[in-house]
Amino acid sequence: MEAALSDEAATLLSVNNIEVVYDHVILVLKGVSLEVPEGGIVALLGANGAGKTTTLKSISNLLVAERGDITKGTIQFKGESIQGRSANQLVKRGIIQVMEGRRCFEHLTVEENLLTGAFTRSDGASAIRRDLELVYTYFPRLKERRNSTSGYTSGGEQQMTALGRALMAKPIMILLDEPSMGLAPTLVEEIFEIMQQLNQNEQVTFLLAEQNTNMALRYCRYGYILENGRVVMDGDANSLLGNQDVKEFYLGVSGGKKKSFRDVKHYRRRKRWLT
Amino acid sequence: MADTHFFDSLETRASAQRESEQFVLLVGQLCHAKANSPRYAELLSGVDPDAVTDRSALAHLPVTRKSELSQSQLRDPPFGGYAACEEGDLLRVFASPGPVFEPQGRREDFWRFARALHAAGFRRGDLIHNTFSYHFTPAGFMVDSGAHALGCTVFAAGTGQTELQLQAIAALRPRGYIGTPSFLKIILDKAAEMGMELSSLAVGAVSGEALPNSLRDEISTAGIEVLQAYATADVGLIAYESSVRDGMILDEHVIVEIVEPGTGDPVPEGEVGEILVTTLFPEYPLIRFATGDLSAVLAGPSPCGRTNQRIRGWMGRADQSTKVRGLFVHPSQIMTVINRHEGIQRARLVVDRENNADIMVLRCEVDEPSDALQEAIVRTIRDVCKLRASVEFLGKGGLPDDGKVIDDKRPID
Repeated sequence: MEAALSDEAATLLSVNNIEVVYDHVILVLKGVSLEVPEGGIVALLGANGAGKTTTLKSISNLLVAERGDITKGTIQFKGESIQGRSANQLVKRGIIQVMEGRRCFEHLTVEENLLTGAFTRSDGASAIRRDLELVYTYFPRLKERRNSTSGYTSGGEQQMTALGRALMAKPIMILLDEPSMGLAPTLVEEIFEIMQQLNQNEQVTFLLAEQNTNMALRYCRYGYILENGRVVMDGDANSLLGNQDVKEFYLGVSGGKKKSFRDVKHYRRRKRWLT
Repeated sequence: MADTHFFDSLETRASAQRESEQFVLLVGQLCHAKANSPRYAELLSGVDPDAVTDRSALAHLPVTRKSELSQSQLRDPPFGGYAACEEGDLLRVFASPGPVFEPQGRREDFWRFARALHAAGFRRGDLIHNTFSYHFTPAGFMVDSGAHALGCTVFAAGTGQTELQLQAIAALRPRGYIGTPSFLKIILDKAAEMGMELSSLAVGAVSGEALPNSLRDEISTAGIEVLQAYATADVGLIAYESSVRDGMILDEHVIVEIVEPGTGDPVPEGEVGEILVTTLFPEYPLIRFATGDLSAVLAGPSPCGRTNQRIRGWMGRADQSTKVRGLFVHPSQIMTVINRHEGIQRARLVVDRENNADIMVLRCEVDEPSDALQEAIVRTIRDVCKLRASVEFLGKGGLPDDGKVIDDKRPID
């Protein structure tokens, strides 16, 4: 952790020991802490239901729509608390979430979808036009399909549209939820390549939630593994890729004899926020 | 891991994890109750919810008694200021019993019964014959909503009209029965009498009264495996049996304490006391609600793999417990005495005062009175209750049939 942060620039986002309860009675996050450095690409990994999406929605303040509530902990962006800010305000501050399942406006064209991403901007039509062209340089395929109705474009194109739409808000940080979902491996690779380019060329910071651990760790620099609402392990991507347990339980690489699920150890992480 | 053995992963949490997670929810519940329930705003006015992080802190909160609940409801109907929701948030109101009102919130499975039904062997797609009453009392809707959450279909039979019930079972061929065990017996007896076969029934969830082993065996002979659920109209599901039938496992969304009856003081683990329930669902946030029922914690985890604490079944009513010469005497102790002597048919402990001293007499209905039996019973009472008592024999039918095990005749001065 220390190494990862000292190599990088200042901390952009810091989530401290947050607890999230849905519908008053379902405790989903049980004290999650994580940090994202400025210009970093950080992955949130873990199985279905581990709390990845909830973590992203806590940051982007989209929990309210699902009767979720942050009952404890703090979230800081650029050193300032951002809790209680509306998703709208957060977009203006530079945090935008690309939701799982793309969520394009199906009846709008690709270009209309992209333009909705600029809704919160007030820097004029020509700046927006310029950024639209920028999006098209990263996603030439979207330029080809700019006049197609989004609902009739492929899953990969919709994922590109969703990511391009987020870019149109001129974000500092994108919360990217399961971009690989339902996409062919080559397309996933293409999307991750573009994410990397955006990170390097446009200085966009990414916090990525992924079940595709292998792919995510190849493009991210740092990863957190969530299990049952808690962070159970974190480290730089290479150390996680080399970790025997990660290999076995998240990468599907069996080291030696096959273990049964009953033998799987569940990680218990010391609460570092208490020290 | 698609394991259909458990209803959800909450059932197999490590005990320490469950405890910490439940207390996270409890802190939220206390904040919510203080802010939204006028009555708890008063009762908890001096309480800092954030400090209630464990059982010892919980034990300092006031106990909510049914008598206070009904008095508050008289002053401020319908819920006496205990409910913490807007009127539009409620689906139904019940009156059970008589002057006490209970709400049903709009959330799915408001009384959390799906977990108990799942443990009893009910599964998605099952047709259930529900003979709990659907009016005045919430019992019918309690299991009905739990069954719906589980994906079952319910025949809303209600109580009574045994012959019509039989016809419906024969025609619809439900897989499950829900209701009281005694009504199931009435149905089975009637079916036998009329020569009808009810072979579709395979599983049952029973509640509302105790289930003697003899009756369970008899029902089992008819091919129906019944398991018990323990619930009240106020707090919903409290505990349920699983297929191993080894005690009742606590529901995941209640915090249960066993306390000295009439007080809020927890008894040492394993001792008999009154069941206090704190609910974690927000609409009707009862905190340390005294059920008036007696039970005791069973040590160790259930062999079925569920990790939540278990309690013994229903062990009597707390309000019959009394203190004699400074020691509590519980109905369960009298039941123990009765069970140790085959000769006793029924018995009642009468407590009275003579010359300012408490005296106890165990009045027993026996078939064959003898001095040896009398002496043996006196010894058993001393062993079980740590108190001296005399024993009086009566013939069959000598005791009134009013369910009393302890009759405290001491004048209140």
